[in-house]
Amino acid sequence: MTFINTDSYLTIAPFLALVIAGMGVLMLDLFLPRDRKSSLVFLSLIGVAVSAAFILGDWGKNYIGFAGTVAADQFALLFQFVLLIVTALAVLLSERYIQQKGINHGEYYALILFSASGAMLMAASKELLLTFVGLEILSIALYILSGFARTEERSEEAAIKYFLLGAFSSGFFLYGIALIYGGTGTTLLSAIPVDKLSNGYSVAGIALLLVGLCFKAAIVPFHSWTPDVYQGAPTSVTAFMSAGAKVGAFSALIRVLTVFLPASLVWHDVIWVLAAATMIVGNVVAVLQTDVKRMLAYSSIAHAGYILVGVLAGNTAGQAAVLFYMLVYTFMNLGAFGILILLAKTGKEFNSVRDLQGLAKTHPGAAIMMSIFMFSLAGIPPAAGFLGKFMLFSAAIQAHLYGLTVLGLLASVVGVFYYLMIVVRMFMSPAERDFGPLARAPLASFAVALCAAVTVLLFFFANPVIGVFKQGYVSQSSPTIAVASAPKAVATLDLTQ
Amino acid sequence: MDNFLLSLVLFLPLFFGVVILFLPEKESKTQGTVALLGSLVVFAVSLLLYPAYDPSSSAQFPIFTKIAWITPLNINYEVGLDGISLLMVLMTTVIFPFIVLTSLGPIKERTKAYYFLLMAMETAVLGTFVSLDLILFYVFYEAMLIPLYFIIGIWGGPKRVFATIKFFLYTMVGSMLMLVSILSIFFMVHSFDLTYVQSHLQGALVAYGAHAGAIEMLLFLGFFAAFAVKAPIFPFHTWVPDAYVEAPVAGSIILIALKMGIYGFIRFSLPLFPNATHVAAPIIEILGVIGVIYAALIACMQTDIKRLIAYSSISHVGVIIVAVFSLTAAGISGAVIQMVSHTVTTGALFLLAGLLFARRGSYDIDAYGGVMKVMPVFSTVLLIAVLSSVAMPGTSGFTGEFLMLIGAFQTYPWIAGIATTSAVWSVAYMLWMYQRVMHGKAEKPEVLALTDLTAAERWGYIAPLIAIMIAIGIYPTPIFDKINLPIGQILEQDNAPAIPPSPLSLPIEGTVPAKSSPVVKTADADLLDH
Amino acid sequence: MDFFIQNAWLIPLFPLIGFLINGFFGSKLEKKVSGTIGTVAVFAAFAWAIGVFFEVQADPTIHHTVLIAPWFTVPAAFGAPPLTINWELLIDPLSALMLLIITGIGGLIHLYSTSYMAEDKGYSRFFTYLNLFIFFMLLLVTGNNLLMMFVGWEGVGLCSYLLIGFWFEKKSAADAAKKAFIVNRIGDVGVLIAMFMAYRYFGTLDFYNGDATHNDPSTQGLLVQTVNPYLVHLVTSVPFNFAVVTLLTLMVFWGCTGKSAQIPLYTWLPDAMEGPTPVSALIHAATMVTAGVYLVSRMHSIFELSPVTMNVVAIIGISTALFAATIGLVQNDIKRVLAYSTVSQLGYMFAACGVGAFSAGMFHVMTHAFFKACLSLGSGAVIYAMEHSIHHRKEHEAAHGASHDLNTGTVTATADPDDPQDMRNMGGLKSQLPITHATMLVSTFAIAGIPFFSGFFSKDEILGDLAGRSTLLWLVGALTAALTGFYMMRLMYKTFYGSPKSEDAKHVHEATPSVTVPLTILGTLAVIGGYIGIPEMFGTALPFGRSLSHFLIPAAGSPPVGHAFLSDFALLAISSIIAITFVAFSYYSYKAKDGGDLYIPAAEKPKNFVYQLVLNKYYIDEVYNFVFVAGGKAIATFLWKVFDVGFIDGIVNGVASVSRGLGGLLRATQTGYVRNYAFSLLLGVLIVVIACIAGAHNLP
Repeated sequence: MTFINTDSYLTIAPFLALVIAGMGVLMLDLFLPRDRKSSLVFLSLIGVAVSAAFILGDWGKNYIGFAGTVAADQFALLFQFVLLIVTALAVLLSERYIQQKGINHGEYYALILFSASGAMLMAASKELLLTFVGLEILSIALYILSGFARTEERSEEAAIKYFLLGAFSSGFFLYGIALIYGGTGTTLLSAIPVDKLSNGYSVAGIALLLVGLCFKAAIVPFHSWTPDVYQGAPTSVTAFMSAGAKVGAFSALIRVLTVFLPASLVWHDVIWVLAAATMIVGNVVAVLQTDVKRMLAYSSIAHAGYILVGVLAGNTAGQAAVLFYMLVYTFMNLGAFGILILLAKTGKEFNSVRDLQGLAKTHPGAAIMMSIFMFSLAGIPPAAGFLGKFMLFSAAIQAHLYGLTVLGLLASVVGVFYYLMIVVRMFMSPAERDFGPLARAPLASFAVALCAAVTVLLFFFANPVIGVFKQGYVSQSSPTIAVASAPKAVATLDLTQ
Repeated sequence: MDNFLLSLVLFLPLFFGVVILFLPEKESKTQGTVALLGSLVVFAVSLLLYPAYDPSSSAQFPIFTKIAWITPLNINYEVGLDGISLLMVLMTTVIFPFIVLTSLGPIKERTKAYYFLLMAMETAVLGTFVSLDLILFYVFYEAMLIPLYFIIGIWGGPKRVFATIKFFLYTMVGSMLMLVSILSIFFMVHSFDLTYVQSHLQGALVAYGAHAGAIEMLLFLGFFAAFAVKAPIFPFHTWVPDAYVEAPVAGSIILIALKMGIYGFIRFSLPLFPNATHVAAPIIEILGVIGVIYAALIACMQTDIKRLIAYSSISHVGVIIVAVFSLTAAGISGAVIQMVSHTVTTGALFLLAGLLFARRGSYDIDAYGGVMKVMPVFSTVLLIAVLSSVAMPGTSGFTGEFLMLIGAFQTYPWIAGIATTSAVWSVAYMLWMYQRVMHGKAEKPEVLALTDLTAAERWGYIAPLIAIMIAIGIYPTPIFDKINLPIGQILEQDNAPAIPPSPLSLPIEGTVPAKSSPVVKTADADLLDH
Repeated sequence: MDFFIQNAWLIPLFPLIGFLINGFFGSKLEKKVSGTIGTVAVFAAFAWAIGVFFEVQADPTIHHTVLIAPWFTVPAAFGAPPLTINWELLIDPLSALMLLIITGIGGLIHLYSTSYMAEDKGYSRFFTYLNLFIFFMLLLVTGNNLLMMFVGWEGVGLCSYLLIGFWFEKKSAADAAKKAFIVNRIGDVGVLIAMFMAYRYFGTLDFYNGDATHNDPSTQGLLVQTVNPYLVHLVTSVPFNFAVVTLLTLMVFWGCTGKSAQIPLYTWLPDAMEGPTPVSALIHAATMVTAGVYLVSRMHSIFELSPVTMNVVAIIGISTALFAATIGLVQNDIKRVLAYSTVSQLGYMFAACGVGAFSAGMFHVMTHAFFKACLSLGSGAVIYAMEHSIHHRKEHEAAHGASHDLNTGTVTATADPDDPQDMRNMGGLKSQLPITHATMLVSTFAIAGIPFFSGFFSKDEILGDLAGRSTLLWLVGALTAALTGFYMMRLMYKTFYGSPKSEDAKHVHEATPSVTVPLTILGTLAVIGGYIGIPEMFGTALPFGRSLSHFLIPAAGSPPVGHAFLSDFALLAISSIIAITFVAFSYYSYKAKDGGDLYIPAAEKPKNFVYQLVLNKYYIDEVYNFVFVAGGKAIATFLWKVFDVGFIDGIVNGVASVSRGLGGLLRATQTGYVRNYAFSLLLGVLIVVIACIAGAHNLP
């Protein structure tokens, strides 16, 4: 066998496309005057389109490349697909926003494309070091992006915080890989011998890998950077990382954990506690926030918690649920940030909850779409958010995580409160300031409208989508984890199934 | 055809709602008219369901539609109709035109959104009554909250935001737990199909051996949490006064018409969890009867008409709960009748309170007095509504209360006995309110300025509701024709325990057995003695 | 041939039509018309009732049932018998008699009202209510099942509420109306529970369902003709069954104490006199209040199964009779005196039922209807006359025309000069109101039991039966009879004889024929009404000996065979003597004082404890108010403010604030300093690592 065959290229083609597009952007940027960067948007979108085409090409082929280190299985492809959507939306939302912020440098789009490619690599990687590379590509780009509004102190601060803590956690991640290697003699996931998992090195390694990924996914107690960074970073960047980083992190988390399934006793309870803590802390603290971006930051923490429940479920249903939830979350969350982006004025952003007061009077359209996103985030039908939660928690129930499910659902009731408060401000309180007419931003408006439409339609016409996403699970995952963690009495259930 | 008819009734309101969305913003009159006509059309169409439904048919849900929705998750669009849901549907479709009517005057701003939400609401409410797929039911059950949340929150009273959020969160907590139960059920029987679950759940539970009982109870409690809040059952009722008071009149009437809590008990809890039901019944009975007395007493002290009606309705619901969990045919049919009666009657009360408010601008009882002099017709119709509410024989209220209590008495004589005293309480607070508003000298200038009902109000608003009350009061047979068999089926699925035969029941050929004749002699002797 | 019976549904229909016409168009019709409609409707019913009566009389033993329409059916399920209720009339001697009383006296009172209410604004409203009342009352007495009876039972209660509160602008009237309704409801709870028990233990609510071949109550109905020996066996041999039957009957009787104003639920009736006088006459004297007696007689076969209940009924009845009579002695409001006398007379009737003399009870219902209706209407005529002359006087003294409104029922030592009902303003009306005086006088004789007036026969029959059961009962009964004679004559004297006590009393005038005619008819009946039920001892002489009780036997059972300590004749003699003596005594003692105060001079009265006690009705109302109304309000306020808002909502809000507090704490950790974040991160790492290693120990 040749070390590098065509399959290999096909496995990396999707994110290779993005990387190339990113470089293209950088070059084209040199020839474009300051005020006419819009064409970069289209170049980036073309990159996304090409990448999508590659994904379709790889669909169902289950290519494995580079000696089994990179896989283009359904799981990877679907995650990458979601990432492409995130990227596209982020690009669309950014166009006018960074213009009026006066930060419309070509690198911006390039960085987004790069970090996206990094996340895609994480989804595809079956080799821990490769995963680390992906993680770093993703992160470093994000560090820069969060500090992209050079003129703004907050942005700077966000960047530096994110960078320091990110580096810190990457260190743990890397050390984790080392330990795994020490414990099992390999970093190739598919090659890790089960019997070696239980030795001290591996156990510590597993722990540190978890830490590294949980940091990126903003899981309590590794979430502390999230609010500051989300608030400080330019809104368009926040929108991108709120979904992009999560997608990457969780795809890796699932890949890793499915390998460590046999040792589930090591980490099962830990994840259980982390998930519970994340859902509770995220929702409870979000209630007190007065800044929408900060509130959404905490809400994104809470959602990370829900997703972690799906991961913990460990069954195929759970993984599919995580994927589908990622998709839905992308649309509703980017939509929500999109509204803030649309409201943003030159030099003035309407980010505090009070700012939204009476929005329904002046901009009913925006208000209605915002409330669609809010209800969807709250998980109330008829909105796709409900289906996402439904799939996550039904997977959890299937895995007999009853306690965690009840906890999560009750926490989400707390969540309902602050989402509703936003709607209250918009619809039930008198207008305090006038927002003036929305600046013309056809792309961003289109993106937001698209998000709103999809958020609703995905509920009614979920059938085909879920059908596809059902295939998105890591092949070697086995639902036996359920039994491993299930109380005795319930074990008999499987007989009845 | 009938199957299509059902879905038509279900989505027609939403359709009209969308139509309203396309009307010009300013034309609030037109929007209102469309909403009114729409709701009337829906009612007319829904009437066709009455003849269409044939209780004698072998199927539990003769009118039935099942369309695959989200196959990977086994979620289907599955709706069906039996006598009970038929009645609930008709109840809903008949009350909504009045809800629109009451809105025409008071609702002035953002009318378009308002009427759209109203019509969407109707679809959601109807949905809960006809869904046979647990998730579909849950979806309607939740979706219902959104329009109501806006209706209370935007067009409500001064404390509307507090009220609407309290109501929303209360309901959410309950329904979340119900969702857990639904999911757990799914992984036992691998279906959300109500009829399928009915027939397989018990079998699946058997596999749990010793834990079966406990697990069934947990599942039951999940549903109970949702329905107890919605119904509401004491002590989960405290959202009701705030919501009823703060909501606009139309909202209050909608809240009254939200009977899916009690309906849920009859449709889901009883058939799905027979054993758990029988275990929990005594406790729920006690909660119910506490609610009856408790809410009635509190109602006595209210000075706000709407709050008084709110508490009175909590008290009435208490009786319904007592009846439902008595697990007797009489009790449950009484409960079903009472759901309709309570909706119509209390709806009428709110409606009249609204008319009073429209004239005087106050729900405060002390703001009135001697109104009877200036508004004779109004006082008469209010009296009729009050009488139906206090279960005066000849009104729908009595048919319901009597059957509920006589049913409950079969299995819980003492609780039923205590609940019967609600006949006194209700009269106490209702008549006291009536006296303070209506009787006495009309001295306040605002009161003297009041004008009696217009012809439109008389014949458009009130007359139909009064007619329904009286009709159900004196000739409910058409209703019983449709609900008797379904209730029988539910009791069977619930395998209700047979009531012990009366110790006084005699041999049908009651001619005295020869052997006991000597005894009889002495007995006769005793009798003649005094 | 029972043409009238088969169409007996017409009887309630007539007043119903009258009600609907007056109800919907009354305001547009002119007074004369709506009055006529109301009156005619009732007389039409009366005419039909006569037809029915004679058809029943042809063979009293048959029980005719007339099915109008099905009501509802709940199929049998899980041991519970089917519950089938029809709109069905039961025509038997009992209902036939009641039909006559209700429609006959009702008609007369309608006629009387046409002129009595002539000047009232709510004229048509009045007739609407009155017709509705007649309708419900007819349902009550003809219903063939407890439920239909109950419709009437509550219906008359409603009408009584409406009519007591007819002058709703008067607070006292509105209060009285509410009180009447609520107190009646308290009683009705008993009837409801009785129905539940009947369904549970007898499997039916029917009185009679025509199927006499079975002795099973569930197939034959509750009204078991010749009490089923096997049932008797079941009841007497099994304690539980006995308890059931006792409780059931007690519950029914509890309802009766409400409707028929017996201890402890009598308090509403005196206040009910706030209503217009015709109402007091029709509802609160002649018909509605006797519904309890009717019901007990209707269910006599069940009652007779429980000696305990029978005794309770007898004792409550007789003590009410005495109790009310004592209060009647000192009241000054003419209508209140009559009210208490009504309560007292009802007591007699229940006492009779209690000793098994149901037919005697019904007999007294009838005679009482005659003379009490006459007395009430008479008092109405008096008040009417007084009102007018007071009104005239007021018009003359228009200069200082500060007119107080009528405050009846208030207990004052001295009379309010503007109170047309206070007997202390009257006296010597005999000359101006000859007809009223004459008719009231004979009625007084009747109620007092002066020989050969109607009341004499019925009361004597009751006393006889009481004596047959126990001497004590008879003694109390006799004592009550004495008091009755006394206070009724007191009423007569203070009103009609002696010197006028006020200017107004001098200028009163007799009313129009439509008032006097009914008075005359009722007066006549009060004299001769008793002859259809006179004792056998005269019966041999006359064609009809006790024919009423014979007539009633199929429905109300045969009179008890008691063994009195004296012969019937002796008892009869004694009661006649008592009656005559006390009426005479009362007359002459008041003559001596010219209708003024006996024994206690007006000045002394406020100080005299016993007098005040009786005058204030033993302060029972005050006690009730304190215990139930005030107590209830206190509890309710507590539940609302403290428990509902404080406790339950407190918990809910508590949860919210706890989560807020938690959130606050967690937010505090969000210092914004990287070093803290890094530290927390490190902490997290340590925890996770340790936890994982700990978990690793569970690995196999």
